[in-house]
Amino acid sequence: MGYAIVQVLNALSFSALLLLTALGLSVVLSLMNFINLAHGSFYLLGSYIAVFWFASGAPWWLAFPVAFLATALAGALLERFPFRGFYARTHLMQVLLTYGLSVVFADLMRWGFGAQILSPELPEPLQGVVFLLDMPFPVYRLFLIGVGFFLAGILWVLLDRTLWGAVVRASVADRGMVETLGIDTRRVLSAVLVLSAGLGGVSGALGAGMLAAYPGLDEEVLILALVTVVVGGLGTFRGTVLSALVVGFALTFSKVWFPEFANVVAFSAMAVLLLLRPAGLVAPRLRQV
Amino acid sequence: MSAVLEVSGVSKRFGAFRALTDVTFDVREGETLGLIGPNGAGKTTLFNIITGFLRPDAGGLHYGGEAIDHLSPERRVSRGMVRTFQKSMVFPELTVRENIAMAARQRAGVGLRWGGAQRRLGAAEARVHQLIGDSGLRRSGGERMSDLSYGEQRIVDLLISLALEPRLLLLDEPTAGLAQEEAERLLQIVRHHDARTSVVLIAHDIDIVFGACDRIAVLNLGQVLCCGTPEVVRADASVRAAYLGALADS
Amino acid sequence: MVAVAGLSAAALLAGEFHLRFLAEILIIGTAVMSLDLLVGFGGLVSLGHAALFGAAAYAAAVAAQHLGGNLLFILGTGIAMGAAVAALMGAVIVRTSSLFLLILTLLLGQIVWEIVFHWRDVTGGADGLRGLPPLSFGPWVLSSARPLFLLAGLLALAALWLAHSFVDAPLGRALIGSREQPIRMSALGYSIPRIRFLTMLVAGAIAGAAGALYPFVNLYIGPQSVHWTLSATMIIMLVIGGVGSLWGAFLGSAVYLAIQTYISAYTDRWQLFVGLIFVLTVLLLPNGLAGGLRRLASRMRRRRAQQA
Repeated sequence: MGYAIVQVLNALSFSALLLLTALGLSVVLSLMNFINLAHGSFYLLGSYIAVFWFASGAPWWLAFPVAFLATALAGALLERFPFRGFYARTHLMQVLLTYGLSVVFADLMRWGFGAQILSPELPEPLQGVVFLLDMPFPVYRLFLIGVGFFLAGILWVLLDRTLWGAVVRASVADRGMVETLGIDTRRVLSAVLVLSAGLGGVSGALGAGMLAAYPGLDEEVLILALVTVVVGGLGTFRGTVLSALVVGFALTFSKVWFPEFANVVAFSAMAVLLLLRPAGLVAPRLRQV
Repeated sequence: MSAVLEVSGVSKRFGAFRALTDVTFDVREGETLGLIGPNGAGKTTLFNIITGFLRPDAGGLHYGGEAIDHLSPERRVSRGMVRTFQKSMVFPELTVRENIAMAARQRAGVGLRWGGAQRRLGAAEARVHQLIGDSGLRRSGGERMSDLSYGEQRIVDLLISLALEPRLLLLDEPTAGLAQEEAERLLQIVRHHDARTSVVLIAHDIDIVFGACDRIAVLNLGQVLCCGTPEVVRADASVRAAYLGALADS
Repeated sequence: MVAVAGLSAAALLAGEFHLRFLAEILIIGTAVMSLDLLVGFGGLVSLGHAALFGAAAYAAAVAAQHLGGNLLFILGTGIAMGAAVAALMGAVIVRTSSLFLLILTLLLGQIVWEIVFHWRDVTGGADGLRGLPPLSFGPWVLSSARPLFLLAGLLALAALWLAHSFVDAPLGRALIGSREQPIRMSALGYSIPRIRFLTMLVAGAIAGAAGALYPFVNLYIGPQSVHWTLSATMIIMLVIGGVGSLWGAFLGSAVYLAIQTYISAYTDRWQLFVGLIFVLTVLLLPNGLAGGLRRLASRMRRRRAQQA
């Protein structure tokens, strides 16, 4: 029983991390129709920031806002050039541009932070384990579950329940109309990208305590986030939450049940899911003709 | 005259919206049937159902006397049911000739060949030449599609459909956005093509429809108000009220 | 003509190391060119192309270990394997597009990688397979660099010819149509799944032929040749060379592999170079080096015409 609970919590903590990372991707995809494969770079940058911040002795909890701000700044710069010129281009061109940038960033980070695996020195309140029905479980993962779902909730409120969110959604639905209301939609769109980049950084900072930070992690995380977004149906909020849970549980429990062929089982499950629901778990309504 | 297409009791809903309710009419051999109605009346939805892009919730279709509800869009095309789309759907990166050849090859049964079938390919090419020549387009066919004017693109769009030698041709606002003269020319190409081809024509321009069609079906809010010759439709009270009201009074 | 002359000149002049290097460029280039059929002509961006190439390479290597390196047999094995994996992948992806296709090909490709990586008895796992017998053709043993290079050159030329004939044939035209205007294509009676499936088979067979020769260049095959990062690398090569030009694929793989081989001797930052060149290509030369060269050639021709 305790073992099962621990595995469920493991899966949940992984899902929380996936959710937060995937939301950053899905926000720009659904709101701006922009595919940003450099999102993994934001994540890894956030991870490195957390590792060095925790080691610096400054108040540990500041690592998360700092990671948010730093990656948001990077996002703001990239938004000016070259992202902005690619919003209206085809998905293929967006994929190529942002993937190319991620290759560049990956090597720059390897240059700056080295090629070895950096594990953060966790702050004292988050170290150690708690015992659930006599099974040990890392405190940090509980923290991750709580913060992850909390931040996702805030994002949902922001986009779905505030005036700003309404402006963003309206800018996407009918750009011309919103501009006649005197709102600069270009600034709205760049704000969305900056928010998404910041989310990537926070996810990285949070994930560092679980996955550490090393070259190549950016691609691994990007792929999992992309799978999550696609399985979720390309950018509906509900779909992304659902699919983060599905992917998190699939990857965790396939490791429990089929340790040797964990990924084969998990990948096959996702592929089958995509075949059964070709438009994702929660598909946005579209008319084809 | 026998009916090429019979639409009986077709209904379609999108969520709570009733796009089509119990639509019944037929298209006879060799005739031109106009399909008119205000925006959102369900004209394009009806086209999508006839061509198999959408499935109706209720009702059925008979084509050449045979039920075709189970046939895929591709199978319906292979039986001579051809449609165009509201917006021009050409292949912008290809030449005019290649655009039309895409249809001509499919008609000749060599659409997916790789090697061989030289004779049928040659025949398809000849057919493309003939279509371009007959169309009155002053183009050699080697031009890239995206370099043509909008009016010319719409004509090529039509030629693509004609290259399939349709038995039933469904035209969805082929004249939208065209000048009067261009629209006339386009309809002339349709009429001169083959007297046995039945045509269903959606158009917003009332003059065009009343001038070019043998019969007219009026669709409003997903229902057929009236179907008959232009004179009958002109005289119909419900059509006057729902659609021609403003015109009739003036 | 130019290609044949270049190949023969290289065969006469280059040394052992360079010939193997050029053979690798030609083989990888052939695989990238088969990817161009999917990406450039079908608009199908696959992140699983390395799975076709790598699975064929492993099949060829294993076949050679057990049954010897008869060239035709090895080529046949690779082509069959490439086409078989492509058929599986094709059956899954024919109805999807865009990001769904990207992710599905990635997942399927990684499943192949996992199998290769974990099936140690046959594939050697992480170590890969070493000590393969050399290729042979009748009485000739093709173990030195020169015949291997000529073989790779012949493969590249044959594949290029095949791909051109595919693109010019009705099937290839239909593939372009399915990329440009899929809805119209079904309204013309074309079955888009069928077009895509057939294209996958052709691309898989060509990638399989290239994969079959790959292990014999260095008499080694490792699991990284199946991994999705090689698929991504192939896309980088394709874009640098020029999407939709076919021959640009060879240019792209030459540039990439040259940077990997020569720049990495001077600095650890060769991936930075590759990334920057890739991004600059996307920004400045959307049709890649092939497109740029073609534009340059036509400009020079015009200038010469003006002077005359």
